[in-house]
Amino acid sequence: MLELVKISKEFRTGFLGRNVKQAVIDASLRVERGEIVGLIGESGCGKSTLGRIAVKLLMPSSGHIILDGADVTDMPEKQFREFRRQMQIIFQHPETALDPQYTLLESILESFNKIGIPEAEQKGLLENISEEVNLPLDIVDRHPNQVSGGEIQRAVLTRVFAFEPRYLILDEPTSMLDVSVQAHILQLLKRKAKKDNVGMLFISHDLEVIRAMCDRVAVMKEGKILEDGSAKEMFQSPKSSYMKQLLENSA
Amino acid sequence: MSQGGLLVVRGLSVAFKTQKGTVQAIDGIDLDLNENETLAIVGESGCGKSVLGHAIMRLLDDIAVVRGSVRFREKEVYEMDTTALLNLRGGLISLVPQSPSSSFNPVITIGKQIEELIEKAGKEKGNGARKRALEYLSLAGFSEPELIHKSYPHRLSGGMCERALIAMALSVEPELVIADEPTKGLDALSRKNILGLLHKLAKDASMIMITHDLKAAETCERLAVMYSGEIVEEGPTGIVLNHPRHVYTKGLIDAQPSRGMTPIKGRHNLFSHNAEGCRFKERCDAASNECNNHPMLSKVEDYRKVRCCHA
Repeated sequence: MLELVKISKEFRTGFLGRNVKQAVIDASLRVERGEIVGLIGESGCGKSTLGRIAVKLLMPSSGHIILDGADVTDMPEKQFREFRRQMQIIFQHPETALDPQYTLLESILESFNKIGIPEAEQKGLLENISEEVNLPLDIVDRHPNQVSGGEIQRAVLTRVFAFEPRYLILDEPTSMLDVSVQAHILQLLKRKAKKDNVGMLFISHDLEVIRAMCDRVAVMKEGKILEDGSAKEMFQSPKSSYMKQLLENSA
Repeated sequence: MSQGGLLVVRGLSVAFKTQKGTVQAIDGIDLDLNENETLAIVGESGCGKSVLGHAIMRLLDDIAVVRGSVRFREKEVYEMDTTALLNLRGGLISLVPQSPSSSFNPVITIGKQIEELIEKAGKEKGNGARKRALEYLSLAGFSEPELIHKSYPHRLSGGMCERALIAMALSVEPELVIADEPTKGLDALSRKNILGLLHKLAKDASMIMITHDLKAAETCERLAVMYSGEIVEEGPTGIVLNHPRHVYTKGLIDAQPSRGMTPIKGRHNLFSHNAEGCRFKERCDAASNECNNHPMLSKVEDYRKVRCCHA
């Protein structure tokens, strides 16, 4: 289980950090393996910040990140590296997700080498995963600007799946994609969660996507988690007035 | 669909020469738009919908080979001289471009950029232009228009930039607004606000909304679905979305998360624009021998046209 316990994060800007922005306030959330948890809220509510904290791309100002029982919050980088492989993050903007100077293949092989997969096995692994994520192998010699957003997201997934992660943080993975490409990728993520028992934190502002994907949902507003419950309950009988408002707006 | 409409497009084709051969971005588009009518053009990335928007305003680069005719108020756009063209763009037709945050000049304040357009279009000068810019910023829902007026674009969020762009496009009181993906990447509330704003400010104008978002398209009266550079289905929005006749339209509707998230099989290929016969046949379950003949966009009911031999 990936647990976020009473996470807060403040950003300081301006002269001597006098402007304090509370991005996340006392947020607790847990993701079991094999479960897809939706995190929803408007732009600027802190959901992406919380996602980044979950994989320690950002350090929380206070609170704890607990991965399968181990508190990794203040763990030194070297020791943490093993844990990092188990939780991977995928970002919203496909065009900035990969190094523009690398071909898709170079980016993918970079991660294979990081994992320490012997060269002899790399080709086989690439074929397996690319079939799983539906990445056409005739385009892997291209650079990110020569392929579509959906194809980049598939290359990103190839990299990420190679780590055999237990948890995935998905930060608006399909909001820049066409609806039919989105459907492909969402189906594939859903299958992955159940097949390989991967816990996913699915961050999105698109309630339709969340409803179709998630087992549980948490709503965030101005840095706080307002409500948290099964997707069915949240969509049929939301308790917070904010969730009701979100549902009305998306109708 | 009368001949004397605001915008009449006939047989419009645009081709780009690339290293790998010619890509027919759009092919034989016919379109009619009446005064005060709203039309949504939907389709996947690469179907040519943005190229169509730009071709109508004659904004394409010289490398684009354009054939066909675009008539705005009975004047041929591709025969206009520079003066007439400048008057057309930003005066009679306004474009709300894609990617709001990179559409503004980053080193000039929002206000100055709006004023510049108002002055260029000959609507107001000096203080009058400033007043009008502020007026449209507040119409666009900014509670502190002065603050936005003197802000540089990087200080605004994506949704705010989109609203400022709409304010700018509408500040010249155009007769036609072309909005290119106005809701891309926005959350539900911003999307609702932006759509409301567009329709409110453009209520005296005609509008073409280019989008891949069927929810946004629902707000327009008519809908044209594009695939591989062609219109494959066209008609009143409610009828097309509730009773689609083309397999591709059905596929788009069923791919929505709320409708079961069924992906369309196969993938869209830029070079299928050059294919013989029906361009969708590779991805269509109903494909038969008949589909090797290129289908025409033909009338199937009153006001509705479909390009499919099985429809």
